[in-house]
Amino acid sequence: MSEEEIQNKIENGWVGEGPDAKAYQRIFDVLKKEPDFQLPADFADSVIAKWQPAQITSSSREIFWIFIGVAAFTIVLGIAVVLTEFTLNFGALKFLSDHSGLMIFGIVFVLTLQWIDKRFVKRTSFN
Amino acid sequence: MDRLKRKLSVNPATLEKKLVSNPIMTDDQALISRVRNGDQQAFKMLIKQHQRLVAHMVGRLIKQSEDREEICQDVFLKVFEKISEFGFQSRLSTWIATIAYRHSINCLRRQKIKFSEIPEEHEWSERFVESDDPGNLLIDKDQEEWILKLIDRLPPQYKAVLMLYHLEGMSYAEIGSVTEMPEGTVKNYLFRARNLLKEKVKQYIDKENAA
Repeated sequence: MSEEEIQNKIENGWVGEGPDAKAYQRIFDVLKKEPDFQLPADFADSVIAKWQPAQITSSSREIFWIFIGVAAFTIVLGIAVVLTEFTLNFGALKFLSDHSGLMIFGIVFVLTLQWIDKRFVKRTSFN
Repeated sequence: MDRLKRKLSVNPATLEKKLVSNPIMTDDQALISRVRNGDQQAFKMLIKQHQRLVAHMVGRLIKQSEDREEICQDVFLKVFEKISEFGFQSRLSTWIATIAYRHSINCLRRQKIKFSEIPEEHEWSERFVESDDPGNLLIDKDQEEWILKLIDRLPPQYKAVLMLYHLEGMSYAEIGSVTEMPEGTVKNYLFRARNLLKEKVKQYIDKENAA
């Protein structure tokens, strides 16, 4: 019988008598045993304790970069407006400058919808 | 049962697991969605479900017992970091085992432990089988510890394959996905590792019988 056949047979519960079979049986028994190293009962808590600061750092990093992005965009926009002496006086832009109240309402409305979606709809979908 | 196992040619441990309980993919999906949304309870549940698997992998590959727990913690932090990349191409446990395997291998690299290739087969095997006479191991517990020490001396790839197959009941394909080895290599490593151990244990049994 080849080595591979012996291994397969022992794996399927065969109890052999020869030295090869006996040696394999001992090895298979040991391989099935749980190792000595086990994690403590509060392991999940210790990971969570390590995870929370990492979460806070990553979300503050996100906020920092959003702020930097918005600030950079505003500065560049301001410079561009000054340099090009840009005014809202043609086509659709003329309409926007004539109805500034409507535009402000639109922006506030979209932002409110986003906030409601994040605050109430998404949160209740998973918890 | 044995005939069924052979007919389906899957790892018997996997088959038993599948016959007892059918893992439901949607459970993993729901859990992952919650973890992705930063739900602490869900993450805790994920850790509890998979900490045994990660402990087995790290425990087998990393020898320094003082580093093991911290390495396991880092594995789960990495799981959280990468969970948005998980696309359900495999079972969640297979994916977590992959992260644990790679992280352990990276730790071995940092400790400058050579892992990249299996040592020159013939010479290394001879040395493995000939070295370290266990003397008289009178009780089963001593024999067990001696065999565990022998397993510890095997290359990390062999240890990982043995652990995933015998303890976790993974199939050759799943082990291949965890270790990034072709299925043929997994089969071959499993056979060679068990064969090497057998040669060593057989020497001891022969001696024991002669005495």
